[in-house]
Amino acid sequence: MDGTPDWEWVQQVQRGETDAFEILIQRHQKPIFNLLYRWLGDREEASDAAQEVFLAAYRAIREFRGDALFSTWLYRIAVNQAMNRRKRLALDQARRAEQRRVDSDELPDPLAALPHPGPDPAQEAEQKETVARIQQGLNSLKEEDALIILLHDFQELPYEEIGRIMKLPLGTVKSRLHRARLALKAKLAPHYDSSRMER
Amino acid sequence: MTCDQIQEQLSQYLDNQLDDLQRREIEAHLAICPHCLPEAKFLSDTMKAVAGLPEVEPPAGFSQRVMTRVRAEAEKPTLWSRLFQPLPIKLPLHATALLLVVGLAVYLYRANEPVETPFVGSIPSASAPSPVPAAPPPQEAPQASSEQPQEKHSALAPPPAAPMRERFSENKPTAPETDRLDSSDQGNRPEEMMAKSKVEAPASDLTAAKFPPTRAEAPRAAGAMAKKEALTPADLLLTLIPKTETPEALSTKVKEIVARSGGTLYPSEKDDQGNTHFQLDLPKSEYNRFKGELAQIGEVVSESQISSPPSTGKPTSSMRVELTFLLEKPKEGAPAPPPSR
Repeated sequence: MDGTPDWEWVQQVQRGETDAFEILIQRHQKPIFNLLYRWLGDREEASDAAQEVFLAAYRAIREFRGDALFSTWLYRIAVNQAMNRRKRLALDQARRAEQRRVDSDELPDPLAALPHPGPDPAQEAEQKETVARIQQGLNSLKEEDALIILLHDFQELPYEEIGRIMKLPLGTVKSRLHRARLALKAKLAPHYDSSRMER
Repeated sequence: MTCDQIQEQLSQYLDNQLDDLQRREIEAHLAICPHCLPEAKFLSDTMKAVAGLPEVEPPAGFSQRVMTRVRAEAEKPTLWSRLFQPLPIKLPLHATALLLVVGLAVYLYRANEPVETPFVGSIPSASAPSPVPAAPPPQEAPQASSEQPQEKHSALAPPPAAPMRERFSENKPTAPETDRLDSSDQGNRPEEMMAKSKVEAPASDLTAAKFPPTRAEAPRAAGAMAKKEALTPADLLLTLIPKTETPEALSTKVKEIVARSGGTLYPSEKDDQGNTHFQLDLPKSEYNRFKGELAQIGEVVSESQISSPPSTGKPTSSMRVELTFLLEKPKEGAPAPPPSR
């Protein structure tokens, strides 16, 4: 893929050259899909949500004036698209967990009831257990906490861009990220084994 | 710094967001604090674990699937274009529908015109829809007076059709474009035919009465006279025998009388038998004065009122009068004109 800035492709799309949008999809599909995958904890949901994100971006692309990075604008659309999905998924998972608790006498592991990603060839090479626990820990956080951790620690976005995506001031980004990390740490604490978690 | 203060800054410390002084402070604290160091390590491990989550590839064909939807979206017409920018295939449909609607509206308008006395002397065209039985064409109509020559009916020919009507009829207009625009289909409308019939009846009785000039002829004779707006039926027919006036003097005097009465005179016409016809609009309040002055130039031999249909559109304060100055007196025993006002 050439080094043509996103903005030039965006302008082509705005002029009606629909095919130029495919370049933008190919550039941004992976980070957007991975964010949604880790945030929603479900591959199919992430795929559907990512399609909706790009379709919504295409519909609204005439409103994009280049004031921010195209990626930032796309992340904001992704966050808006996925927020309701995540809430719905959390409710579904809670219902299923409750059903399993009723069906079984043994006390369930609260993290085990949370969704986890389906099988993935790349993931199989990793330490499945550790990855699954991290994912379960993320799934159990509040939406905003999981999102800010994923944007910073997984997607490695700077504070400033996270602030633009989440519409938060810089100081709030810092404090909220710290609290979110502490919350995730607390979720993982029962299973913490420094020798396993370290990479 | 206390442990709480240190732990509050651990995230930024691990993100390398602190300045050197703050960093050295925290590192010095962690070096001696058995509580904060494991916390920092646990937090660091957590961050690294998240960072180490494997990236996955989007599903195969993801971008193609999205582009399929995007292209479908791009080709979908907007509401605006659906309503106002029809595809070429739709244009004939729209045009046809429009013509049908207009045609239907014209037909209904004509079919619902109020019709009075179904007397039909001669209707120039049988093609116009009419709620009353159509009379035969003029040349075939029974004449009240066999002396009336057939050529007269040329003056009774319907005015040229209006542009809209041309689209529905194969008859081509013969009048100039400006006249066609003004005449607007009057000649074929039922009330026009009725009016002509009403006018013609006493004219037949009086041997030689005739219609005012058609719109095509009007501009030639108009001069300073008002241009006739439309060929509409007269409300009143006055037939007079002139008192030794030449046609020119007669015309001048009629013009003056009409002007004094606040009326509008349309171009006069002389028929084959020398009878002179005037048509004019007059304020109703001025009629008696007008008639009185008229008596100075001619003897009124008949005065016939004809009720106009309410749909003629003329203002109620004015009336249309047709004057016929006869070349010769009506024959003895001729049918009496309609009862006067």
